[in-house]
Amino acid sequence: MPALRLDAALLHVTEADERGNSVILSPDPFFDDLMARAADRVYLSCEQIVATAKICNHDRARYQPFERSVVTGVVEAPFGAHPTAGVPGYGIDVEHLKEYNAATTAEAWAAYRARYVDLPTHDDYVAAVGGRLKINSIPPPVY
Amino acid sequence: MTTHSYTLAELCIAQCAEVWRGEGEVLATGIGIIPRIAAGLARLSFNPDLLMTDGEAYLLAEPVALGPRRARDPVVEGWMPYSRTFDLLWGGRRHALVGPVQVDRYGQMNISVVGDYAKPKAAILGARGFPGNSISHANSIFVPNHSTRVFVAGEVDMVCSAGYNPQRWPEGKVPSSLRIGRMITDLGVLDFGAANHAVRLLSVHPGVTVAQVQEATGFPIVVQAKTPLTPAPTDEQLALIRERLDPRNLRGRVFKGDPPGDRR
Repeated sequence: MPALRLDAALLHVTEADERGNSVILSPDPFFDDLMARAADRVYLSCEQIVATAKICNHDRARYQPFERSVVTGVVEAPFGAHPTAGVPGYGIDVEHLKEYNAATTAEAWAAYRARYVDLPTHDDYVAAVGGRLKINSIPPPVY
Repeated sequence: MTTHSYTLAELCIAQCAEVWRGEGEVLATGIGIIPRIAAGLARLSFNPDLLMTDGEAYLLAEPVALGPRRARDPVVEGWMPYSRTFDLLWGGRRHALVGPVQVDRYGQMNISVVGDYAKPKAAILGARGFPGNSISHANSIFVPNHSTRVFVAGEVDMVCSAGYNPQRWPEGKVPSSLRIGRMITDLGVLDFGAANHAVRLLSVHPGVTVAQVQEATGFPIVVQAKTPLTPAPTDEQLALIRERLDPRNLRGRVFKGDPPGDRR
C-alpha cells in the first residue's frame, strides 16, 4: 500500500519556540510524529511560545516529537487542542464533543458553526466554549 | 470453595479471568466492564506477570478499581502510549478479551456494520484494530447476550478479525499461529477446540441447558456426552471482585436485573 502524502499537518503541542522546536508534555503523544513526517507542510499551534533555552534542556529533549526542520510555521494558541485534551492543563471536553456530535443535520451544523467556528479570533472561540477558567477546570476523564 | 451466593456478572468475571491463566507475561486487554474486572482478577489471583494499562498511557503495577480514582495514586511501572501498543501487539505478547457484535463458526468477528456494507442497518465502530490484532495475538470473546443475532449462521456481515475460515486466507491455509481462545457468554463457556476448530461447549452455567445454548447459536456446536456446569467463583475471587476491583458494583449494570449466577 503506498504511503499517504499529506499536503499539510496541523498539530498542537505544549510548547514551541519561534524556530519550530517543540515539546509535547502530555502522557501520550499519539501519532503526531508520523503526521509531521508525512506532510509537505507542518503548522504547529502551541499552548505557549517560549525561548529556545527554556524549551529544550538535556532532561526535556526527549519530549520533542520531531526536529524543527519538518516544521513550516508556529502559532501561539492556548487551548488549541480543545475540545480534545491538552494535558497538562486541561482534559477532554466530553460535553462539548457531545454537542458537536449531535450537530448532524444541516441546520444543527450551521448553528454549531456560527456559534463556534465562524468567529473572528481564537480568543472568541475560547470565550464561546466557556472561557479559560472553565476549560481549565474540566476534570480528567475516567477510563 | 464457595459459600456465598454470586451473580451472573460475577460468574462471568471469574470465567473471563481464566482466559489469562497460563498466558505468562502478556498485555491483558479487557474491553468493557466484565473483561476489565476479569483481567484484574487474573492478575491478582493466578497470573501476577500480566501487564495492564490504566486505559490511557501508563502500565500499572497493580489493578485499579473501576470508576473514579481514589486518593491513592496507583503505582506506575511503565509507559504504554498508543504507538507502543502497536509495537507490542505486533510481537504477539498480548491477549485481548473483546466484545464483538457478531461472531461466526470460524471465530471471525464483526464490530463494523450490521447488514449490507454499502447500506448497513447499523454502523457501529468500524474494524478498528481487529484485523491486526487477530493476526498478531490471542483473542478471546465475551458475549453478554448469547443469541443467534450474535452467533450468526454463515459468516459475520463484515469480517473484521481473521478466523479459522480457510477461504479467507491466502492459498486457503489458516496459519497455525492463529489463536482464538474462549468464548464466555451469559449461557456458558465455549471454545474452538473441536476437530477443524469447530465450536464446542465447555460448560453451561447453572440453570442453563445444552439445548438452550444450541438454540441460541446460529451454527452447530460440538457437545460432550455430559456437559459440566460452570464452576462457581471462589470466596477469594468474590472478595477480590467486590472489595478490591469493583467496589462501586459497576458489574451490576451489565445484565438486566443483575440476576444470580445460579439460575436453577
